[in-house]
Amino acid sequence: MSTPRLARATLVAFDLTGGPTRESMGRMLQVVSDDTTRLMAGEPTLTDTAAYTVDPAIPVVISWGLGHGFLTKLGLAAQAPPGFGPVPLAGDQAFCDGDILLHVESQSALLVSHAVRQITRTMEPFGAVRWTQHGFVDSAPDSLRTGRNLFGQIDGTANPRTPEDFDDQVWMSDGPRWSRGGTQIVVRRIEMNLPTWDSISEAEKEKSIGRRLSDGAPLTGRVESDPMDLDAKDAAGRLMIPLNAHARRATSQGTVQKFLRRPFNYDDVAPGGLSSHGMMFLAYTTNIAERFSPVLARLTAVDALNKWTTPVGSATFVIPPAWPAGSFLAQELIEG
Amino acid sequence: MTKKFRIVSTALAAIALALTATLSGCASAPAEPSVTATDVWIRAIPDLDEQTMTGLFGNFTNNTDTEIKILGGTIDASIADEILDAHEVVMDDAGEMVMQEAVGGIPIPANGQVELKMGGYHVMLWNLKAPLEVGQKVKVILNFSDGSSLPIEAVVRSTETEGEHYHESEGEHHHGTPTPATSMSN
Ligand code: HEM
Ligand SMILES: [Cu+2]
Repeated sequence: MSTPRLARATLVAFDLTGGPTRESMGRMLQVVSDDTTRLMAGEPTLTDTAAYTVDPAIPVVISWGLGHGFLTKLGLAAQAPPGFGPVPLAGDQAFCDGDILLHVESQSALLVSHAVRQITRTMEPFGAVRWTQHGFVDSAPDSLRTGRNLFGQIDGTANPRTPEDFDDQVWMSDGPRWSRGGTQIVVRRIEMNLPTWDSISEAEKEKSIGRRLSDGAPLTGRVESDPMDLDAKDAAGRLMIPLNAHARRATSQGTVQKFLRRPFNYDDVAPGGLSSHGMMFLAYTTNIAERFSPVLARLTAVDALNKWTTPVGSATFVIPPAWPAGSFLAQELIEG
Repeated sequence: MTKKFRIVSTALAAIALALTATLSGCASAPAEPSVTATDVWIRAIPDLDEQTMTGLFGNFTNNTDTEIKILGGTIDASIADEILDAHEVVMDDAGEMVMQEAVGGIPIPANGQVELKMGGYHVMLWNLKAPLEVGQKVKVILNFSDGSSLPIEAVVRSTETEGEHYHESEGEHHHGTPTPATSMSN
């Protein structure tokens, strides 16, 4: 998570099938952990049907999340870490919820596809695919530079950067043992209406966020890293960053409402052959209820960007910490 | 940087795992066994109404200077018939893939390796007594032509299911009997 985004990401949510038990989930977690370890080392899985596709020179990063449904179906709701729960969304549920999340990233679209396909086969006896989302970014693998989204904005400026920031905002340090060292993810799918966005002026685009399109600097500053001055006014006495600007509305009130944003763009084919553009908005936090939900509530109430954006999916998962050799994903939870 | 390190350490972890698996297989023998095995798995059979036999696959390394053959093995009789046979899948004159006994055993070249895989060499489990579900661990003992044997823990894994079944022909007898009419397609 603290690694820069790789060019391609696929997220797959599974629903557990066939009356999951702790015993069957223990078996599932072991075999998917084995697939994960092998694919991340650039090796084929034990039952790989396209074994020669792997490439040890191109990293594949795989992470897993366990949803609210996973915990409740196994009678483990009490094991949910503090602040974890669904972030509901009204309307079509096609991109909502899911018991288990598989998240694969790589610079290679082929390797993402390969890993997802092999792991999905491994999952078959245990779960059915609920939804799949694909995303892309333009960031180079070894750079921390903030990429641009489909609105043409520099996105990711006000993000945690230092290990201390990550320990504070992203990695859980208390709560149930199995989840310590892990994080909580919110997966929001947000449609972006490009035709209407494209029809407005650059000035209006910049006001809607409070930052310049050219370099991401606040409208009150010189460079991207300058802090916003929320009180600054122009010669006519008007706020330079309007009250409904996205960055003003989203910025933390106090020290708690901070989290990592790691969005991916999507450009899919919608029914009828139209294109569907948007953002697979991924937020990582120690505590969804305390850190994320208040910000979302503020933005849902008032945000200039809402004119061009529509959330169409919402799902949350606990991402357990990486497992040590000889162990497997969430072993402490399932055997505890 | 972090990412590269993580990937390297995962690879090391996998190697460490493989080593432990091999070592625990021969706790009583001080010297390296003549044959070692990695990545050993058995094809899942979740429903005994569909079929009751399956295959064991994996990588086998011959650590000696002479060829060794995998002759077969044994398994706890509560899981399947106690005797396991060395098999291979070949294409017959009609172009059908058929499964038959690997006569004389499955050869592992001196200081070399053999891979038992779908559609090739495998060790056959007959008459399963209970379903084999993905992720289950199964203990078997494999026997070799040099007189040695190797206890192995195999993990049960699923493969592409449709059209990939082992079919037992009518009136077929196994255990040392060549079974040319038994076909496997994949
Ligand atoms: C399509 C939807 C969205 C777009 C295009 C978008 C775009 C942006 C942009 C361009 C910035 C300024 C640069 C930066 O700091 O990264 C920003 C900041 C931010 N956004 Fe969004 N965003 C979207 C949705 C969301 C959602 C759903 C949330 C949370 C619920 C959110 C939370 C934030 C936060 C916390 C900041 C940083 C504010 C600060 O402290 O300066 N955004 N967003
Ligand atoms: Cu056979």
